[in-house]
Amino acid sequence: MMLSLAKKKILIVEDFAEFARSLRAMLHPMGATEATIVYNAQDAIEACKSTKFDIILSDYNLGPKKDGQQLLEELQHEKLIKSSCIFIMITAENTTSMVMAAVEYVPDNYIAKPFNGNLLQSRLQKAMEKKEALLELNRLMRNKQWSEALERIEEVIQQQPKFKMSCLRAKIEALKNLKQLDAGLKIAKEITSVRTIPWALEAIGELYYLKKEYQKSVDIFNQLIQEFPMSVDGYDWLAKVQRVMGMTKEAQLTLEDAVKRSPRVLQRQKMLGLIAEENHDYDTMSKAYRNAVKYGEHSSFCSADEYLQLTSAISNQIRNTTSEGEKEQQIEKSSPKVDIKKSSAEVSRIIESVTKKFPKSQSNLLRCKVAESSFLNACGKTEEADILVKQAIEIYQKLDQQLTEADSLAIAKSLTDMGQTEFAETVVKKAAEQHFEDNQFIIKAAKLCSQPEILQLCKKASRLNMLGVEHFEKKDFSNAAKTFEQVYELAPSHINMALNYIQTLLKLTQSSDDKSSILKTANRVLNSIPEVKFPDPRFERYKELKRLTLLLLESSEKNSKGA
Amino acid sequence: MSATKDDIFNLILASTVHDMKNSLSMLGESLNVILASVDQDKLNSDTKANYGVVQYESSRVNNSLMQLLALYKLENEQLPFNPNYVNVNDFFEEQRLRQLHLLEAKNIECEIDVDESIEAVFDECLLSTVLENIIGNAIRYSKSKIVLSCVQGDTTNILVLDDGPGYPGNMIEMAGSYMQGINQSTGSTGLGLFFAQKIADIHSHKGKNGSVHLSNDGALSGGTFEIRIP
Repeated sequence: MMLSLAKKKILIVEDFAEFARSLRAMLHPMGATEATIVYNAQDAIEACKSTKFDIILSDYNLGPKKDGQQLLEELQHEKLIKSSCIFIMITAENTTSMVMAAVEYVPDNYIAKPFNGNLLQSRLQKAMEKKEALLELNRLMRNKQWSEALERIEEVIQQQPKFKMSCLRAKIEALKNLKQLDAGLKIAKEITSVRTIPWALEAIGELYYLKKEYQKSVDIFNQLIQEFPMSVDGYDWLAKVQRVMGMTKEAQLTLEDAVKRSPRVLQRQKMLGLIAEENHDYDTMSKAYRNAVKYGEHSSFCSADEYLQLTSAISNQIRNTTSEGEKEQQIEKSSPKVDIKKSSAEVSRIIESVTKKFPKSQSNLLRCKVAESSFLNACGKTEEADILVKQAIEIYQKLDQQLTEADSLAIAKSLTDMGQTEFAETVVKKAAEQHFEDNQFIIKAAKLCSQPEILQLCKKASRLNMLGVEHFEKKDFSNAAKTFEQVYELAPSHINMALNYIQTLLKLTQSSDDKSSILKTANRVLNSIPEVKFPDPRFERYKELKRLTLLLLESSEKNSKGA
Repeated sequence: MSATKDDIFNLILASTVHDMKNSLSMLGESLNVILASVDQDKLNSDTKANYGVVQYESSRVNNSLMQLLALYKLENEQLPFNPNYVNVNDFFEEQRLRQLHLLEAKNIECEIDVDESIEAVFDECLLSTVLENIIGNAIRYSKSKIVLSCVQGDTTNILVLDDGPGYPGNMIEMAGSYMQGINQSTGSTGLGLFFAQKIADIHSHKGKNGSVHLSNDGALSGGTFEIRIP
């Protein structure tokens, strides 16, 4: 079968101009007429904004800025390529190391240099065949239509058994998202009972983790990294499970092993920083976040968080070297002396980068203020620090959006570090109210808060919420509304809880005589929470409930006027 | 601080290999461009043979680079190993395509003798590096034909047969210890077989490891290379 690339829009991304031209020459006999050449990732992104390419051939090494993987991530993340676009990654080395890297977005195929036109044609053909066979399935998976995806998977396995393994992998993923963990586990175990396939073993470990069978999960990930020492996601997973089991020291060692093997992953460095912080190992923490900033510089996943966590690590390194109690310990560990002058310059550079690089949102502004003041405090400049804290309090009181869990915790942690316990507790209590169903968060929050009642409040609210959901499912809307009202009173700023209450009230109006007063309550609750904006995952639900509430309110007012 | 030293060496090795591979790609492609620009009928047989030599030697250099890099990583426990289900027919077809220029230049037929539905579990990239070297050698020594075939039983046996003079007796006897084959006086480095054996060895299943076998009693009455994957 001869592949024809006539009329296909092709983009070649290659920093080596000579090779780019010879690549175009290779495509010529396949009928390619429209091949654009760019020499770096930024130009590729610009090209994709104006043209919808059918095929992209990109070198992995693209010079000092974004590499081929980061290019692919940005193109998919920003939806700059159509779902049928074929992306082939050209690599210098054996491609196995790429295949085993933990990446969210994978190219359709790899090809290692040097290669001839014949091999390129074969890889393109295979990629196109697979893309076409799995196009619909991939669309369903991307849209999170898991049940439909499961049906489609069976069809593809029937029609094209060649893609059975890809289909089974997708099936495990879909079942996992449908919370059918045992069904997913069964398939993965069937695969590994025949052969030890790394991805299937990893799936088993993940499913045990989700089933909260942590010891089994740890055993599986230990097996994975022993049999496949370069399977770096195995280490990431192992550390994650160890952390949940409270083995934070072990988790840190696991991740230190992982970054030795593959340091260039932003998320891995951030995770190491987070765990090192829990272990009060601020030297490792600052090293990890410094790497996160470095390797994330050209990634579309970078955020202000790693920059600000780095300042927090530096502040704590200074506190450790200057505090009397820890001094001897530091000398024993022969920890590098922290140079305050140097650190000070680094912290100002970081704060400057954050303001330049990221949106000037109020939460970023708040975090910068807190980070700066915590650093000044660590350096003994308490007066200057206190001025910044006062400014931070002002920003906090005027926030237009709720802080995320991570932001709340980071701010509270920095405030606690500098002895601002009162402000820290205000932040933690508010956040706890907003996220009380998140156990991991609550455990961390409780550590930052001297008042155990927040834990109690969270437990009570969680219990009531479950009861409310039970009533709702039994269509007992009257009792559901009473229960959700209690939850709302306990945690008035929890958006999902407020939405639960509103949804129940709207249901209740269908069977009630006093529609108008119920709707007024719903409207009052709606107005009491901050506006939820896209891309917040609660946005769709918020928008729909708001629309319904206003619609019903309007018609009820009309009716009462008419009567 | 030895870790840092290793890191630097690793970095230099990887970037040098990258650079050399770019050069090799360029060499090969430039040659193709030159060749395409001349009238094929006017090419004499010497030119064609010389073209074949350049193709063969540059792919040999590339292949040796790959093997060295892989062996270095294996020593340092950094060699990624990712076995997966591979369709053997597709795999062979790609091997043939890799060598197409050389096959044509030397006018050698490459037959693929495998059931289209056969699947086996191995690391495709690593086995590809092994076979590229072995097939290159087979083409070099064969007269008119090589065969790629696969037999599946307890193990998956991948065979490369040629109709050349066969492997020297001392090489066949060396089975299992190809390091001894490194002989500077004959120019045979034995790297290819040593590498094949290492890669066979990291493929294991139910306590059994892969192995490499050489013989001269193949169907084409030349040499037979066999790698058994459990």
